[in-house]
Amino acid sequence: MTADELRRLAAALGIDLLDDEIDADLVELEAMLENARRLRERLTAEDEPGLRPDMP
Amino acid sequence: MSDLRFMTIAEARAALERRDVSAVELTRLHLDAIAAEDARLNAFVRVTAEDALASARAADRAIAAGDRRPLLGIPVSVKDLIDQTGVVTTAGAPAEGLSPARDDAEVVRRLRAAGAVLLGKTTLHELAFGATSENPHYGPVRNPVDGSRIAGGSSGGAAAAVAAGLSYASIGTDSGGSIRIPAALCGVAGHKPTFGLVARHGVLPLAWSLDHVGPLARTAADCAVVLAAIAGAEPNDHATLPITGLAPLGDLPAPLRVGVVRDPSPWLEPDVGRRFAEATTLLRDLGATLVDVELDQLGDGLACVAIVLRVEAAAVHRERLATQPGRIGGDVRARLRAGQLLPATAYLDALRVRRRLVREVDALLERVDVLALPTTPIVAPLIGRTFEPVVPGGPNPRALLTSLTSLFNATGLPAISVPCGVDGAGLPVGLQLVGRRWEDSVVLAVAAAFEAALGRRAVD
Repeated sequence: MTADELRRLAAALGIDLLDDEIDADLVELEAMLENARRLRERLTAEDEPGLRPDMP
Repeated sequence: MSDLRFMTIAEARAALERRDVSAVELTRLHLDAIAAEDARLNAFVRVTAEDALASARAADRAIAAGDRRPLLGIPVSVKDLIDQTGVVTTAGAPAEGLSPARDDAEVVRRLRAAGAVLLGKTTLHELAFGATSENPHYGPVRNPVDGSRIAGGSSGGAAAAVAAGLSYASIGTDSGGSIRIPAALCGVAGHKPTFGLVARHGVLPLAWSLDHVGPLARTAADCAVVLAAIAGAEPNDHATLPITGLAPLGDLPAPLRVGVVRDPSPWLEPDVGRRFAEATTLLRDLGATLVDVELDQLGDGLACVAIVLRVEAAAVHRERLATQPGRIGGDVRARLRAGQLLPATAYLDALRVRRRLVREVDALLERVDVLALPTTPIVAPLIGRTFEPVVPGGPNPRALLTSLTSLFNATGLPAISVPCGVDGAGLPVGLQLVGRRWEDSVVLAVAAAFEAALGRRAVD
């Protein structure tokens, strides 16, 4: 993702990014998307949603 | 007199009972120490001296009348995202425009009911969203062991206050390690209770499904005393459950089986690894059976918490982010932004993985009574250097600090950090003990037995 693509995505969601912080925002978002990819690869059809750690 | 500040809570209570010292004297001693030492440490955002002295005077009257409450006359503090009546709750963000809290948080109400004296509000990482307590608005909290280093976070002021003898105990919060990490880096005990054991009403949320409120203190036994005072169901926090019969400090299981996490991190500093190995030997000498366990879930737990934390925090702080983004520090703002921009499917996938993590770690804890692993793979890094990789191309301290703690926020299990020695430069190393859901008293008992054994070894 480029800074410009990030800016367009944010704008579509009604979010104004600060110009001088956009690189930091991009690094952070890409790291989280990498985490999301890692977790997605772990999932199987048997994995159910769960909302609280105390739910059985 | 300074020795009085470094007593355990039980010792301080005994001194009060004997009238060796009054609650007012004990409180003034702490207030004077804060005045003398906190300009250097920055552990407190706000000192509530009048409130403290009023409570201390009431405590002295109650002691004279034979009252024996466990925290009666004991000076404590709370992290500044916890409401205390009449005091602005900054959450480590700029205070302009904020009004004083109109009520005590439930945890403060319970502390008062137990007779505690509230000294003030402790400094934290902005919005509790980070593990260093390098706060752009209030300055960094300095580690009492070495002032050039961070105290850890986000409950950095709480840990520094306890370590420096400015407070017998402090209440912190932990959404990815924020009680245990500063406890480890400052050389004190910090307990993250089972999710749902301590009410969060009146505590500014960071992430609803990950936030835990718990004590930091000088010892595990002190944590147990405070936990007993603050635990329990509260109608305004739907996550709390009416658990009864929890002993503050349980008996050691017999036999005690300790799951020793092998190779917990590729980034373990050698001295941290050595202190951890010595700690497991000490646990074995206590009679524990050591069982090698693999905890491959640590990485997934970290990734899961990273996503859930950001998305929930972005929802909590949506208005702040929309109306005053320039007043949020760069690191926190970037995390909140990521939370806004991540797809909803990433959040739901993280929750699905989380469900599995809960099952897997619960199953592991059927084979052992507690898990043992280092709290952090590194000792306290230098202030201002936490974005620099520990080795070229490697992760930075900020990424490493939560790597061994986050899994237990995802799973909601009780986890404590207690000191297990120091590195070659004298910087504290923390041992983390994790137990089964609602078995906080077992975790605390094992930690207390470990502390006692470590103390005996030091004397020998």
